[in-house]
Amino acid sequence: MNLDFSPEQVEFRERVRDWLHDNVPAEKRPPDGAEGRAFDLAWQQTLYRGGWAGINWPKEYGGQGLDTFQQLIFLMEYSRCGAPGDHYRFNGLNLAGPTIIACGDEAQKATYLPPILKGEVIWCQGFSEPGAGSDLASLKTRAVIEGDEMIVTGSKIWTSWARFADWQQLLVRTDPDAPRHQGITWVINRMDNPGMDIRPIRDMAGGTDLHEVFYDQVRIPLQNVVGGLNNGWKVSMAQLSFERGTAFMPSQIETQNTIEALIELAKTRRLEDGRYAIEDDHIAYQLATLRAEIRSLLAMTLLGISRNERLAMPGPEGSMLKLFQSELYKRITALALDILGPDRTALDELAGRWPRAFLGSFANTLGGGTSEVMRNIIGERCLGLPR
Amino acid sequence: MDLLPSQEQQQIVDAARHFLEGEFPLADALQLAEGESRITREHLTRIAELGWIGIGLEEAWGGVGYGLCEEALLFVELGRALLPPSILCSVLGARIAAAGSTRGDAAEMGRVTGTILSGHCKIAAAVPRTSTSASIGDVVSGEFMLYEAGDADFALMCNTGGAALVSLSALKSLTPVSCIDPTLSAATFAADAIEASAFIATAQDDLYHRGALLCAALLLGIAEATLQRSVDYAKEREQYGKPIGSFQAIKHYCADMAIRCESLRAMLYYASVKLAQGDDSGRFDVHTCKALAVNYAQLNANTAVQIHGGMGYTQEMDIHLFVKRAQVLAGLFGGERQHLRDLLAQPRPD
Repeated sequence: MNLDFSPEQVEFRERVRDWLHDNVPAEKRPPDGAEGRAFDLAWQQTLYRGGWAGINWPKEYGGQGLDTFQQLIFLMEYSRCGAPGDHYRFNGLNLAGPTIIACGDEAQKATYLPPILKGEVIWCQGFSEPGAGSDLASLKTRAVIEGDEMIVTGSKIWTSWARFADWQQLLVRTDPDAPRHQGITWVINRMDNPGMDIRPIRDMAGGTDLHEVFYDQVRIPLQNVVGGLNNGWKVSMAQLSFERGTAFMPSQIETQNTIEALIELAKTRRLEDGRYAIEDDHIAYQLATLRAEIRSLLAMTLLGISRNERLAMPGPEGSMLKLFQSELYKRITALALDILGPDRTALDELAGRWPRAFLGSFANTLGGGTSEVMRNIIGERCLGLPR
Repeated sequence: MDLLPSQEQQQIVDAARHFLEGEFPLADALQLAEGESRITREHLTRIAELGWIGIGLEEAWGGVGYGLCEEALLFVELGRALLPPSILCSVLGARIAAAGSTRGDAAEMGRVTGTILSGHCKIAAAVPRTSTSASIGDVVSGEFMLYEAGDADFALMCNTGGAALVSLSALKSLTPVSCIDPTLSAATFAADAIEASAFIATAQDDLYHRGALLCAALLLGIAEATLQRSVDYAKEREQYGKPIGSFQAIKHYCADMAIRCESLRAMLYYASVKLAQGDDSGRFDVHTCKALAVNYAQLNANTAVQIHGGMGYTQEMDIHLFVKRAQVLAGLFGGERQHLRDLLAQPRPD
């Protein structure tokens, strides 16, 4: 049990800190849309030129080939200086990219990985369907093999950033007669492919980043299949373990900033009775409890990394982190509104970012697997309870 | 950086768990009379022979010479086996006596240190009933709740200012209390300027935070033991023709219990390392750890009763013992509210 960094790691941290200090953009990220896309790609290009893109990706595909601890150090510094979030870059960097690294062939790696790191493309996901949410394996979007192509017909939903994405990681049913987990294929699709129709969905926080995507006889070359035909379930499970394992490390670390910001808010906001919010016992109790739980989230992240260093793949414990963090985030934003008092209803500068964050927080316990699915996974895969 | 126990640390854990399961099966506790201690003085000397009481004490003082991390890992196992808090008092008491032996009554305290480390001296936990009225120093005053006074030689009392050993014979009128935990005896007493046998100030050795951390370790043992029992029961017990663990209502209880264990274990490791290093954030992390431990151990133990159904409500199973012990440990070395207040008052930790 130790938390010591080696002299090399300390030196690495200094370099990260210096570079971020000189390069993090001063301006805020514009709201989502074409401007958001341009901002995200420009920042990724800056990271790439600075030699900080793909910290733990292999060097031959443009990554830095560094270990998990260096990734952790990088993320901690990154979060500390308030550098831009992943936003539209999330899928390529944390899901599609790692999946292609783990399951793709050489040609796929050479074609698809470097553009992600160079800030040339945005990726999105096509997993859920209107009829296949938590029960993902019941997906029906059909792909018929014809020569060296597959022809896809069906629809996907909850695809974040679809209008602004270049590539999509898509799950399709290639063998309708096989047992349901065995007839699925993971394939790369171009978002400008003919036969696709994209409909934005307005979410409860006012955003339009979610989409329903329709496929009518969309042709995809078979060479875009990752991990083999009818093997898509296994590929997507590997991916979900990234999503629930390390992909949320930035947001776990960022949550520390969020609770500290909320404590600051409570020290400066007055309640209806004239006292500062932090002087109220009930608010102070909740703030302290959240600060404690978020401190333990950091410890859990470090314990998870230590465990991953001894094992090859992230284990199901990643589901605990995902569940814990998303539920905590909801409680933080709900408490923020309590602290804001009557100002809580203002969606502009009067109440700052909090009311929108509160509305947006509901997505955290739904996306990437609902909290209920996470609890099933923990119960069955960590504790061995029967299905 | 590696937050997991090393191989050597894991061996300490495995050996302790093996010994405790063999020597102190919880089934035995169900046979005891109310207030009868689970560990006799003979047991205490056997435990001392294993080096557990001096595990984290410097060798120069007669200890084993491991650190706070090993001590914390051991206490998780003691908590899982529901061994009484007097062992925690022995571990801390040895530190007070050892430090006291370098002062005035050196010979006497040197002898006491030896008897504590060899398990020939039992120390009862005295908890201030109100922190404002209690004064703990070379002279002790205030009202206290005392656990395991029965055959104890000293009482240990501790607050943020320091920790004292008081000879039990110096305490005049103990008023017995029927304790919620049937494996512990309890009494209240009022001390009016009683001279302590030894006192150590926090500036010299921070036993308040050390005690809070080890108490959190005991509570983690409870959180983990009640999770394990619940999972085992949910796999075995059938209703509607299926193991109850296949129902999401039960499965999700268990999942939440597992997260509490993971969170608390991670926090215990983290806080142990930080406090042992003497880091600025060490105390913040101990406040965090104890506050979470009180909350999570209670939630897990209480949920375990619900998962065990009607049987969980009986004294034929051992679940109730965990519920009750969690209540006792909640008050030792600062309660949840106190630690939450303290952690909120601190600047942003590193």
